[in-house]
Amino acid sequence: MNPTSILPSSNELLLPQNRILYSTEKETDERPMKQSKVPSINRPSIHAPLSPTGAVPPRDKAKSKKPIIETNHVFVKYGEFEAIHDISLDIYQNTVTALIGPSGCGKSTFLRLFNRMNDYIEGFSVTGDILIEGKNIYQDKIEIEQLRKEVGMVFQKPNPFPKSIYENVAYGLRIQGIKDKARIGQTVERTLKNVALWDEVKDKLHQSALALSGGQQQRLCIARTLAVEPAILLMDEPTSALDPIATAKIEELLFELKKQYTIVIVTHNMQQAGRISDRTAFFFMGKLIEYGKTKKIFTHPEHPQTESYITGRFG
Amino acid sequence: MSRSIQKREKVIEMALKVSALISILTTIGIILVLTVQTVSFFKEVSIFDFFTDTEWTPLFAQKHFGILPLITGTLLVAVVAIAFALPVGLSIAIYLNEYASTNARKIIKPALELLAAVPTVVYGFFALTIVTPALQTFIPGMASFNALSAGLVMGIMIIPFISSLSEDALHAVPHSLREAAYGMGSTKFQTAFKVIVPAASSGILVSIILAISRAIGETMIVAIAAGQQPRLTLSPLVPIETITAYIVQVSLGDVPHGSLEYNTIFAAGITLFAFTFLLNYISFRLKKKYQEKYE
Repeated sequence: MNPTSILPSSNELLLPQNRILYSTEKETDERPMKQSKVPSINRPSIHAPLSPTGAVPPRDKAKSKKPIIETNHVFVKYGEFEAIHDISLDIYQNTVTALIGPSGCGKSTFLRLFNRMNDYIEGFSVTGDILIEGKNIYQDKIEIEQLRKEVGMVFQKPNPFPKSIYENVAYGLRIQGIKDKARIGQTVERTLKNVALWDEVKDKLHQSALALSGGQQQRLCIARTLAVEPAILLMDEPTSALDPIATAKIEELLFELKKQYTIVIVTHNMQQAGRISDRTAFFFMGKLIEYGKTKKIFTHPEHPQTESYITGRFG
Repeated sequence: MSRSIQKREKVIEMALKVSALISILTTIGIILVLTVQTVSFFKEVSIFDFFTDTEWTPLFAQKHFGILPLITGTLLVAVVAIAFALPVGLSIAIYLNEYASTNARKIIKPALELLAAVPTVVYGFFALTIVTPALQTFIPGMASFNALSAGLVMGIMIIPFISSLSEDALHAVPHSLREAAYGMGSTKFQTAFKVIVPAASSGILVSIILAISRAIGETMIVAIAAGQQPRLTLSPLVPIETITAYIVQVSLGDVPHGSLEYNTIFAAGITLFAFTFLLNYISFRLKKKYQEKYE
C-alpha cells in the first residue's frame, strides 16, 4: 500500500463527525508527498501488510486510512540543541498512539508540537511539515487559540484551576463567550459523566477542585479539556503522578474516549503503552526509531534498540 | 583550644540574641508608653466621647475630643490613594509578569523602585505646588489644602508596593495553570485575567492591605498637602487632617509636655497603631494561607 494513495479526496473521510478544523484551501493533491528516501527502518510497519495472509480486518483498514495528524521531516531545535531529528509519522483517527522512549528522547517535545505549546520555550524553532486534518499548523496562518480548542491537552501533573469543580469544566465555554447557563450545565454534566467523575462530585460541584484527590483532579482536567470538544487529545504522562488505582481508572477511560477522539499519549510506563495503545512510536535521542502497531512493537520489534528498551535493558 | 572556640561561639550567639531582643524591647516599650499615656488621657476624657464626638478641637478653648474627624480624614486620603494606585499598580504587575519582554522589565522594575526611594517630603511639596494647582484648573473651588491631591500623590508613592507585591503573587502562580489555560485555547488576556489574577487574588489582597497600612501611616505628604483642619467630611476637595498630621502638628507646636492637650497625641497614636497592626495581622494571615495553597 502506498501511503500517499489514500490522501487525495480524503476530505470526507477526514471529517466523519462533520468537524471542520480549518478551511482547507489547498487542493489535497498539493500536499507534500511523503518522500520515499525516509529510511524504511523509521516507519517499518504502518504500510506493510498487516497480517501474513494479506487480509486486513476491515475496521482496522478504515482506521489506518485516516491520518488525522501527518508529520513530514520534522526537526526541532532549542537554540543549538536539536531535540527532534527528522521525524515523519502519521497518527490515525480514533486510535490511541503511545509515544515511548527514555527521558530526553524528544517524545514530549514532539507531542507538544501538535498544539504549539513549545512556542513559549525560548529558542524553540521547528522545520518540516505538521499537518492536522490537512492543515499545516506552523506555516499557514492559523489561529493558535482555535488550534488548541481542536487539539486539547492533559498534563503530567493534574492542574485544575483554583476554582470550583463546575467552573473548571465551564472555563472552556466561558472563554468562548458562551453564557447560556443551561448549555454550560449540560456540558459540565456530560463531560463529568464521560470521565466517570459525575457520581463522585455531583453533590459538591461548587466546592474547590483543589479538594479532590489527585486521580479525581486528573479526570476533572480531562473533562475540562473535553468540554471544549476537541478532535484530538494530547496526554503528556497523564498518570505519572497518580497511584495505581487512579491510573487504572484513567486507562479505562481512554478506551471509552478513543471512540470519539484521537488520543496521543506520552508515557514512561511500558506496560501502560502495551495495555492502552493501538500504535506505538519509540523515540530515542530525538529520532524516531520504530513506529507501528503496538502488538508488533512489543512482540516483534524490528530494531534492536526498541527491543532492549521495551524489555527494560535501558531507559 | 576547643574551649576558646566554644566560648567565642557563645559570645557571638549572645550578641545576635541581644540584637533581636533590642527590636522586640523597643516595640514593647513603644506600646507601653502609648498605653500608659493613653490611660492617663482617658482619666480626663470619656472614651465614649472619644469615639462618638464629631469634633476634634483639643487645642481650642472649647475642647472636643472626638477622634472621628481624624479617622475619616485618614481613611479619605487612603481611599483616594488606593483608588489610584490599585489599578495602576496591578496593571503594571500584570504587564511585567505576563507581557513585558526581558528588556522592558529591566527598565521598568528599577524605575518603579526609584518611586519608592523618593523622600516623602518631596512628594508632599509635589502635591502642594504642582498637583493641587493643576487640579484647581479642572476643579474650581478646590481648596489649596485637600485630601484629593495628597491622596493622588500618596497613590503614586504606593504604586511600587502594590506592583511589586502583586507581581510576586502572580509569579508564584504555578506554571502548570498557565499551560492549562493556554492549552484550552485561552488568549493571553484571558489567561491573565481569568486564571492567573484570580489564582493570585489572595496575594494581591495582601499587597493592597499592606499598601493601605502604608497609606494610613504616611505622614509627610498629608502634613504638607492635606491641611490641618480636622473635619468630618467625605469631600476630598476641602482641607482635612489625618491622625499622623495631627501628631506632627502637636509635637512640633508649643503644647506643654504632660498636659492633656499633649496627651491627645498618644490616644491618636494608639488608634493609628491599632489600625496598622490589624491590617498587618490580616495580611500576615492571608499570606500564610496563599503560600500553603500551592505547596
